[in-house]
Amino acid sequence: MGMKGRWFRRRPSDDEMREELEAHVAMRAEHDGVDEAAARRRLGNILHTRESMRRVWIAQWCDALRQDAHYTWRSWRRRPAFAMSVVLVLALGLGASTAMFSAVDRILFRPLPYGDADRLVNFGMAFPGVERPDQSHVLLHAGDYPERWKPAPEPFTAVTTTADAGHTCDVTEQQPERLLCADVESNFLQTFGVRVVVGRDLAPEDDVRGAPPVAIISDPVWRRRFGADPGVIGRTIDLNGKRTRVIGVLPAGFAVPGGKADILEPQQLSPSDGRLLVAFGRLKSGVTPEQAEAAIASIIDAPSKSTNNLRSAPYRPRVVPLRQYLVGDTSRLAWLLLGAVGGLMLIACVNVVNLILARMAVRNREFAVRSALGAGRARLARLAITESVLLALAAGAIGLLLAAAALRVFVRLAPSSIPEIDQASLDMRVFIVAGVLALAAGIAVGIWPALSVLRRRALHYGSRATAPARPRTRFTLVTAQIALTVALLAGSALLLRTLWNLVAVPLGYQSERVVTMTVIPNVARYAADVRGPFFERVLEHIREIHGTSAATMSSAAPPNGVALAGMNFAIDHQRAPLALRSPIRLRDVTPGYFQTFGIPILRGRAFVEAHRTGQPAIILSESAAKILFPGQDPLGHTVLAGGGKDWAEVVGIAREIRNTGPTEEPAPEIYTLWRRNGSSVAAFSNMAFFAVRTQARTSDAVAFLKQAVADLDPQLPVTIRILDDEVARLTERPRFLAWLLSAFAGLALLLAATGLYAVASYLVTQRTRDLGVRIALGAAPGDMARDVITEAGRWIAVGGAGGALLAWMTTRAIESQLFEVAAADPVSWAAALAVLGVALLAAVVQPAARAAHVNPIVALQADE
Amino acid sequence: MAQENPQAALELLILKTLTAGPNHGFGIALHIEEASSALLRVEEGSLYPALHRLDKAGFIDAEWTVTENGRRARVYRLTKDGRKRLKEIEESWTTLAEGVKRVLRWA
Repeated sequence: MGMKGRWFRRRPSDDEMREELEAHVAMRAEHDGVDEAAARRRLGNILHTRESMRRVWIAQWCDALRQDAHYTWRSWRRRPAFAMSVVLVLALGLGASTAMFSAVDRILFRPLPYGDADRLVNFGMAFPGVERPDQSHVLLHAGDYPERWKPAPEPFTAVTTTADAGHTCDVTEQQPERLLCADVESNFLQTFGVRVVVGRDLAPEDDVRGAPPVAIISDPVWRRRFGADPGVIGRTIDLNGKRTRVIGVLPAGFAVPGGKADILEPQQLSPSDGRLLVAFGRLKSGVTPEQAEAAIASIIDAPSKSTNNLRSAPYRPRVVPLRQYLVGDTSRLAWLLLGAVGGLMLIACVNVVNLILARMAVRNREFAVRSALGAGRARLARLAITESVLLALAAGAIGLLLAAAALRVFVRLAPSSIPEIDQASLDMRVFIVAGVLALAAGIAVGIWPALSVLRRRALHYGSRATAPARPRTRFTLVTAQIALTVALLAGSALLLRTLWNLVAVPLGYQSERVVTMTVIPNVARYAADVRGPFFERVLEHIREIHGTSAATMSSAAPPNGVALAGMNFAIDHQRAPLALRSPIRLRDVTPGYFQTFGIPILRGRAFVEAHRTGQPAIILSESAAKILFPGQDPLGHTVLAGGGKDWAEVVGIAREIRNTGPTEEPAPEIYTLWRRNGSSVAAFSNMAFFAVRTQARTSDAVAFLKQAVADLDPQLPVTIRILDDEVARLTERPRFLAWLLSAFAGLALLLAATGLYAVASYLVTQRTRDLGVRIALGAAPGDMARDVITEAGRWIAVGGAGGALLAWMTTRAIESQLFEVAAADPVSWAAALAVLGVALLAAVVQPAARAAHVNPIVALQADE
Repeated sequence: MAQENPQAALELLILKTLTAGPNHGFGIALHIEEASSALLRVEEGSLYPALHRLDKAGFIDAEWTVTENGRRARVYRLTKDGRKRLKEIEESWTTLAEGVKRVLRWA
């Protein structure tokens, strides 16, 4: 019987319905012995009946939606200005939100490309920020790593490390190419739950000193260099001059956590390794990072059998979930940005609700007519929702275009420290989110007018041509808008102050007029013994560049540098080395360094050219002097640094520089003299760093430097930067935040001001008759204007106060992004409120003026 | 059910009528009038929407057949779901009717 089931009932056609009713009429006529007309009358209004029958079957909302859409379209065409302003305001909010979502998606939401990534953690000892002050540095010493962490202790199921997650390495055969290589432990991929797609993974045998060199190549390298040939396994490539056998291919989309790599090589630790390792572990299920932290504390604190831990700083154990490791405190920034854009979106919605309410007032007559013609209140309410949803969807489409444009600007301006920001794009995920957001916005702004339709009775519609006044609602909305705007304004004021303070921090070196150049010669063409002399020739060349007042060559330069922790230092010929656990920056420099960067020598003397062939010498920064020679005068003492073999005399103390940016404590610096017969630091690396202080324009100096190197070797790639730009990059995050939040706040202010303007205008229009009477009775025009301004001022004050309260709570969220300014900074707050007051009062000037110029005769006639 | 839904009375009558066997709309209207000794007169304008509503809900099935006097008619028959539904409405309806009767008696 019930074969048709419940959900798939066949809908009878219109013809069937007609026939069924006709059959009824015929049977009734026959049975009662009357004519068909009488029988038909008995059935009532047949059209109506058939419509009711049809309505039973039609998925009603679908049909109604089509009607509403059609109707909405017609009403837009009649009043394009209204539709356009709604769409524009919403598109602004949706565009900003969409762009922001796609920017932070990878930071906050998108799943990581590793197997069971929730259990992966970065662990080790917390080192103070060195290269990247904005990221935590959780590291392990390579020397005692196997002793402490192998096999994987509780609470891990596996533990792996990378010694270097991305250093340049050159393919030195036909088609030479510069790639990024990562040195990893043999169980690296296994721990991350990733498998090679071709060939085999690294094996423990590959990961011992002296094993034949092997490499796993990335998917892009496989495609680019080997045409995706599965026969690549067993072939060799010359990597940094070593014939290296390819053993496997990485899956597409794999990224070494926290780095970039085209090639994985075994790291081949040795017991005397001074490197620092980044360690990752897979936690046993059910173990939280906090529990793991407690568990590894004893492993870290245990005395080492193999190394001397003198003066070891108390390192805290740290276990960081992988996502947090990858994005660092950027997630906080990301939430902040989402919050800000959410505020903007909310303001846009409130603005639109206001516009719609204004429009509803005008449309009362229309609703009255529709109601009189039999449209139910529910139907009218639905129309209101449909209208706003359609408007929002149109806005969403435009918003996507805006988002595409905004994202490009955004990516270009975003600080490079935001991970994977360059990957942000508008893909399917973003489209879906944008769609959902538009839908939600449409419903949110439609609900108010829909409710107000539902509340009314049909009778009220026709009572008067002018609207039942609802300025209270509209003022409340404007007030809410003002309040949200205050929160954004206060945030942006605080961030601008922060930026101001940051830029004002003296870095300890003079960055203006300095141009820097990094030279990394190809190791195949420049063997270790050729490199040194070549660097010397480059230095001589750039010294002769027109306008150069000082030039230097070094192994690193501010604001960057190689920081090493766990380095061995011996003092005054005592052979027992001191394993200094705090990171120290070690730079090989030529004598021009201090002059080029404008770093004063506080005591002792600077390096001189003559010493480059004589006795080794070093200069310490103030903090380095305190660490190595606590309570003593370091001058004249000798130091053996970093496993070198030459004892160097401390000849001077240099002023501390803020080498990791304005917000960080300066890291200790040890400057060693770059000697002609070889550099101790440069021996580790194949790069040299040059800097000139120029009297010429920096852009000219850039060109000159390029030319100077090209004269020596036209094929040698160099990276040239202007130091001022590099220094600006240190503050790029607060700069970016301040810029973005100010833009949001500006937009919000604009929206709030237009909202207030619209309501004030409405108020004046509505009271025109009233005002006319009062003027006719002798009130001064000025009084009228004052009334309007007083009324608006009251709402501004309420909104401002509410906003201050809101901002008081929300600015806590940005406290961590502030620098030397309290969240309650009176200057910022006063500035924010002043800007708000001025902008909003400006918005009511025109309506107020209109109120003052109401012509009583016209006003009294107008409302007949 | 019955108390809340003004259409429930009509639905009850339709479903009850169909327990006697499949019937078309007019037949159902006629049966209701006759069975109630013309006390109840079916509002024919709402009969057909109600039939279609029951059809859509799966309580009755519809089929075109030819009647004894050669007329094409849409004939409805009760489904299993429909019988269950009928039982529910009948129960709640009797309860209501009983309640109303008592109140009237004592009022």
